[in-house]
Formats: sequence, structure tokens, C-alpha cells
Amino acid sequence: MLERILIVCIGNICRSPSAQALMKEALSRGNRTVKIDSAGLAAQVGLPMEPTARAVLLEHRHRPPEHKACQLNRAMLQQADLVLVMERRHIGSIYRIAPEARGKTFLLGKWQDEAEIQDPFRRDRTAFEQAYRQIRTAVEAWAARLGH
Amino acid sequence: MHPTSVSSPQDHEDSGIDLRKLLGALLDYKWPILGVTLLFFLGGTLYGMFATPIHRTSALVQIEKKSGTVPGLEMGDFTQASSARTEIELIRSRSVIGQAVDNLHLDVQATPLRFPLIGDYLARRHRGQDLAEPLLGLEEYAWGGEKIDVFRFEVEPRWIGKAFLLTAGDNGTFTLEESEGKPLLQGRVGEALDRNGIRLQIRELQARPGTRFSLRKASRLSTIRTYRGALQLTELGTDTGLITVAMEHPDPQHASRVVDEISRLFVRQNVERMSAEADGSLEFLRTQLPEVRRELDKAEGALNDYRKQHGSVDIGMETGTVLSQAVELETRISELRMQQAELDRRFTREHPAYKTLLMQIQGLTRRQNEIARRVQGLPETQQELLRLSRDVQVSTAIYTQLLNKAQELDLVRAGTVGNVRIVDQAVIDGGPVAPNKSLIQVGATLAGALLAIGLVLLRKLLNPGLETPEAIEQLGLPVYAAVPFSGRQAHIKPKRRQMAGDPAASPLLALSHPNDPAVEALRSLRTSLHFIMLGAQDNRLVISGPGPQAGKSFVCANLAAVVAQAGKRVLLIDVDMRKGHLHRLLGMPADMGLADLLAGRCELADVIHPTPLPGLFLLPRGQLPPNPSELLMRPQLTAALEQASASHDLVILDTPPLLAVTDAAIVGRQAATTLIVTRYGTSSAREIEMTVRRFAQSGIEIKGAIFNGLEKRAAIYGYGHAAYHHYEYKSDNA
Repeated sequence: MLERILIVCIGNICRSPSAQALMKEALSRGNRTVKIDSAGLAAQVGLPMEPTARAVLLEHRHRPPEHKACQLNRAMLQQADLVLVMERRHIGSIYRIAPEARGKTFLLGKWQDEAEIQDPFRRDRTAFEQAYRQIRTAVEAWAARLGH
Repeated sequence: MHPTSVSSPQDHEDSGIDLRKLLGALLDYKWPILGVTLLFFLGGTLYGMFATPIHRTSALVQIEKKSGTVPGLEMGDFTQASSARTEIELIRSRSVIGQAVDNLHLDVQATPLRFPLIGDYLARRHRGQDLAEPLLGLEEYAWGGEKIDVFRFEVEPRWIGKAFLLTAGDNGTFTLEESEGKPLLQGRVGEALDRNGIRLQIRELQARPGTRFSLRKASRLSTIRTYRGALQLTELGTDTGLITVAMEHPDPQHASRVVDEISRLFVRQNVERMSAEADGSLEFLRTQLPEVRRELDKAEGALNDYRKQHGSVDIGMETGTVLSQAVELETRISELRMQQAELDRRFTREHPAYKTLLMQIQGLTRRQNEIARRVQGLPETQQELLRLSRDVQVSTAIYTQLLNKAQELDLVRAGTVGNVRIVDQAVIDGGPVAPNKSLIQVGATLAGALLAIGLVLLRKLLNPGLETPEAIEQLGLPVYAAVPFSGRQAHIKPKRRQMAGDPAASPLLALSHPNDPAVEALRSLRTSLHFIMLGAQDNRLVISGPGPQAGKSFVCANLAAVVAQAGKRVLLIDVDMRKGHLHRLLGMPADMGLADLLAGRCELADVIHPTPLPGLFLLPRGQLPPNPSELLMRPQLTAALEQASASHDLVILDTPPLLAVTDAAIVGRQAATTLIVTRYGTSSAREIEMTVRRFAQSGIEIKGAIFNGLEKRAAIYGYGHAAYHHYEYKSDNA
């Protein structure tokens, strides 16, 4: 039922690729074939992952994906079964692109009391660390529920 | 879970009235509108029945072309053109109508007191000569057949226009009291009463003892004004000289009397005007006659005296001739003087006619002087005799002349025919002219319909349907899907036939156009439903809504289809046993359904029908039962739902709108999850809040809303690239 997950942030170089990587890992443990994509509302198109974010992933023993940032469009939203975003305002932006995505668009931090995950871009490493921890908790919670 | 709302930029454009929305509102309220219209129709009908019928009576008066009475003033059509207008104004003049008011005592109004509203109607219905029996023992009212004829009623000036109360007694007695109940007079029919500043004489009184009448003396002027207003005077065609004198009044006899009297008086006045000239001359003559008579007597007396004194003296030959000449002259002169008096009244002394007259008189006077000289030559006695005889003869001649003239004028006056005559006496023009029953009926019905429609539309405008999902979220209801309006759904004609293998021909949008944005939106709903039902106690979903026309069945059927397409077993139940049409959306028959199951006519297995879409099953509404709400209360429902839940992944219950019937609240208790469908621009904030409250009263929490029929509005998604209509993502199987 939920076979395509789309994870969205702004630049598609820090938060969403990290979440995408963590989600892939988490779901592969449950032998589920789920396709996971990520995109940015205002993507730095073509760029790889932000170095600090990448470093944080590595440090926590994850495999950073071969990533190329891409711009979110309506077709992507329509194809996805579930859209996960980092901040509340992203939801509104998504509805403006594709109103029919209402109902399948959630905060990544939905299960942590609708927690938002702030953008660590151009901030120090601690911000990236904090974002990573939040993303990991959120992804675990989603994976548990998607295992059904 | 709360998808949080994000305020979107609102640029206010396109706030025009959407016709389709308004039509929808009218459809929603068709019963109240029909009800109000019917009420007005009945009101109009009743009014037409109970209103006093007004009859029109009319007489016809002809104004003939004036035979030019004044020579030299025949200006032809100029006088004629204004003549009819003039005459009309003359008929309306205070003198004519005032005279009629006086003659017919129109300023005395005596009416029996009727029971309010329907008394008049009942009295009219009363036939026959005898009096109607009082209803409900209300003896003080007149119920029909009463008569009162007041011959005279005069009151002090301070009581003019005041209503007195006259109560009939036994054997023609009556009492008159002031409205405060102070008795003023007591008497019987025929008596002329004069007491306490009131003169009253009643000619006839027919009423049960105890019946009350209202007696009023109106002021003469106001009565004249009233009748002046009531008179309808029109010239038939132009320049015909025919004037209809008409009046509308509830009592046709009365109106006939008035119209006849007025036309009679008018004719009389006209004649009087015509003979006014003869009248003037005659009056002049009448003043002259006695004087001339006296002079004649004096002259005869003088002659007789002379003859007595001098014995009988004869008039000689010569004297005779002189005498006859003198007499002739004298009479001629007096004739001319009379003419002079006549002309005096009409012309100034400068008038040529007057001047010639004076010349003539002067000429005659000269001849008189000649004759006087001839008389000088006669003997004394002859002279005296001549003088006296002349006086007598002249006076006689003048007197007879005057008498002739007077008789002539009398004849003229009697023979004067006015230029006005009554062609037709007053008659009633057929049936009542008012109230125009059919017109009032039609008018009232139209007014009612317009009022009802106007109110509904006004309410709609003042309490508009919400147009953004965010507006619903502000009411505290999460919106799980925004289903755009699908132009295609409108084109799909539900066919009552089994679907062939061709899904494109399916009446279900989810099958015929799987990429329609509306179906996309329902797929999103499928996702959120998955999470909503994760923690729910059962897999049953109730879908309801505030009002009809929200598109619940469309949402239910297509949601069920997209869930089934995801490989789940879905049972769709049509709980609307009044107007359910889910079966039509799926192109299946309705019989053998829920109603039959709840009535115990069959088993659950018999009523769950597989649909052409694998995994989707339908439990239709069944044959329309007389007692849908009562059926839903039965324990069979709970048992059947439990059973259905066990054998399906998802059970969707399509229920009738909550604000129309309570079925939804009854069924809502049978499911853990309840969603409502609201429609763009139709469901108002108030309706949605009311729905939530109603469900809450039954202990049901509405989990969220499905926003249906979203329209592309620049104001909502003003980014240009969000064209919601006719955009769909064509999968290229990448």
C-alpha cells in the first residue's frame, strides 16, 4: 500500500538525503521493498550531499547515498504514497504545488508530537548533530508503523 | 494527528456569485421553499375567498356638441376638445357630489358589526330573507341578513366622525351609546328622537336583539372627498362625448344609487346652466310686470275719473290719428328700452348694437316731440282725453307685451334641453372586479417563492460555504483530503448495467480515469486513513456529512475502489435507505441489500455482492423500507457489521447527511472512525460546527473532514502552476 515514500526539505542536500538514507536502512531490515526518494522545495539542483551532513552520517556508521539534489515537482508528489517533510511550512508549500497531496503529507517528526527538524545548513556541526538525532528518532518511529 | 494549516496568500478576486453553488443551495432547501410557496399560495387563495368582493357599477352620460348659444363664438373644435374634460370635472365638482351626499345621506354610515376576519365572508354566504343564527353564541355580532336604514342622523359638531354603538332590542327598539358605553338614546324604529345633541330617526331595523351596529356621522367634506376619489370618470374613446360614470363599492345597490343620483344631478345642473340666460331675462320681467301693471291701473283710473267728471267725451277724428301714432311710438320706445335693459346686462355702452339702439330711441323721441307739437293744436278737453287714453293704451300695450315676453321665456326655459343626457342608467358590470382571485393567487405564490428563494440565497451569501481546506482546519477539524472538482464525474452517466471488462466505461471515476486529480486526492486519503485506523478499535469507517449534495457517495465509492486497488478487501455499505444510490455508481442493482438484511429477510452472505473490481464488495441499500431509522437501531446491524469486519480489511459505511436525518448518528456508534465530507462553497462553517456538535452529543468524535469539489481558485492556490483541472500526471512507467 505504501510503496513510494518521498522525503522533502528545502535544499535537498542536508536533511532529506540523511532521512532518505536512514529510512532505506530501517525498512530494508524489515524486508520491505519500498522506494524512497527525496527532493527539495528549492533544491540546489545537481549538488551532492552537504559535507557536514555526510560526515555526521559516516560518523554514525551509515552509508551516505550517491546523491544528486533534485527539485520537487507535482508529478513526484502524485506518484508518492507518503510525503514526509521537515517543517510545518513545507506542508503549505506542498499543497500549493499539489493540493491532492493533502492527506498523505506528514511531518517527519509526526510521532514525536509533530516535532519540526530545523535546517542545519550554514550552522555549526552541533546543529547537524542535533538534526541527525531527530531524524533518526523520527525515522525509527515511521519504520515501526510502516512495517505493518 | 493534525496536518497543520498554513495560511496562503489571499488575493481577493473572483468573488462573483457562482450560479451552480446557488442552485445547489436551492436544491438543498427545496422543501422549505416549496412549503413557503405553498403557504403563500394558500394565503392568497384564502384572501381571495374572504376578501370583500368589490363590484363596479357604471352609467353612461352623453355630452352633445354645444349648439352655439352665443352667436359669434362658434370656434368649432376648440370648445369641443375641452368640453369632455370640463364636464368630467363638473361631475366631480363639490356642488354635484355634495348635493348627492345630502340627498342620499351618504355621510351617515351604519354598518352591522361582523366577527373579525371571517364575519364578512359568512355574512355574504348567508342566503335568504331571515337572519343568520349566531355562531359560538356570539350574539353581539351580525352574522348575516341584518338591515338598517337610517333616515336622519345629526350630531353636534364635536361628534362628527365619531362611531356610536347601536344595539338592537326587541320589537324594533334600540339603544344608542357612545363607544365608552354611555347610553345616550333609547327609542324605537320610526320615532324621531332628539336628545343629548343627537337627532336620530331610523326607518328600518332588522336584527336579532343584541346585535350591534356602528353608526357614524362623517363630516360632509370628507364624505364628498371620499366619493370624489371613488368616482371613476372616463371618456369613451377620444372626442366621443360619452362619459362613463363608474364607482367600485362592495355594495352594488348602494353604488348604483349614488351613480344614478350623481348623473341625474349633473344633468339637472347642465340644464340649469343652459337656461340661465332665459332665467335672467324672466326674472327681470317679473320685477317689471307689477310696476307696469300698477301704471296701467293708474292710467285707467285717471281716464275713468276724467270721463266721470266731464261726462262721456268722445275722441275726435284727428285726435284718434294722433293718439294711434303716439301709442305706436310709445310702445316702440318702451320695446327699445326693454332691449336696452337687456343689452345693459350684456354689453358696455360702447357696443355697436347698443349704439344703434340708442340712435333708434333718439329718432323715435324726436318724432314723439313732433306729435306733442301737433297735440298742442287740439282743443283743451281733447288734449286731456288724448293724454289719458294714450297712457291707458300705451300701458296696456306694454303690459301685454311684457306678459307675452314672459310667457315666451317661460316656454324657452321649459324647453331648454341641456346638451347632456343620460344614455344608460347605472348597472353592475358583471361579476366582482376585486379581488382578482386568480391574480392574487398567482401573485402571492410568486411572492412566496421569491421570498423563500431570496431568503435561502441571502442566507447563503451571509453564511457562505467554506472554500479552502484551511478554513475547515480553523474549526479544529483536520482535513485529510482535498478532492478537486472533477469535470469528468459530471459526464459519467450512471448506467444500470453490469460493467463490462472495459474499465474506461465504468461509472466509477477511480476505474475510468485512474489519473484524475480527484482520484489522486483519494489515494492521499487512503494513506491518511491507513494511519488513522492504525490505532482504531475496528476497521469500520463511517462517512457522513452536514448536508446533501456534498458528494459523500462519490467519495465513498471511489475511496473504496482505490483501497481495493491497493490489494485490500473492502466492503462498501449503503446505509442511506432513503435515497442511497451507491449501487448506481457501481452499475449494480439495489435490491437484496441492507434493508432486507435488517428486516430479517436474508443472510449477510446473500447481500454482499462482488463488484467488477476485485476486492471491492457492495452491500446496497436494498428495497426502500418505510422505517429506515428504526431498522438501524436493530441488533442485527451490530452483528452484521462485526461479521463483515472480520472478513474484510475495511468496511466503509455511506450514511445519509446528518443535518437531514439522524441515521448517521445512530450508525456512527457502530464504527471507531467517522469522517465527514464537506463540499466546496456549499457547507458553511455553521453547518460543519453543528454536525460536529450533533455527533458529539451521540458520543462520537469526528476524526476529520474530506473536502470535496475543490475548485481551482487563483485566490487559493495562486501560483499559476497549480492548475487543478485537466492536469494529470501521465505515468510513463519510468
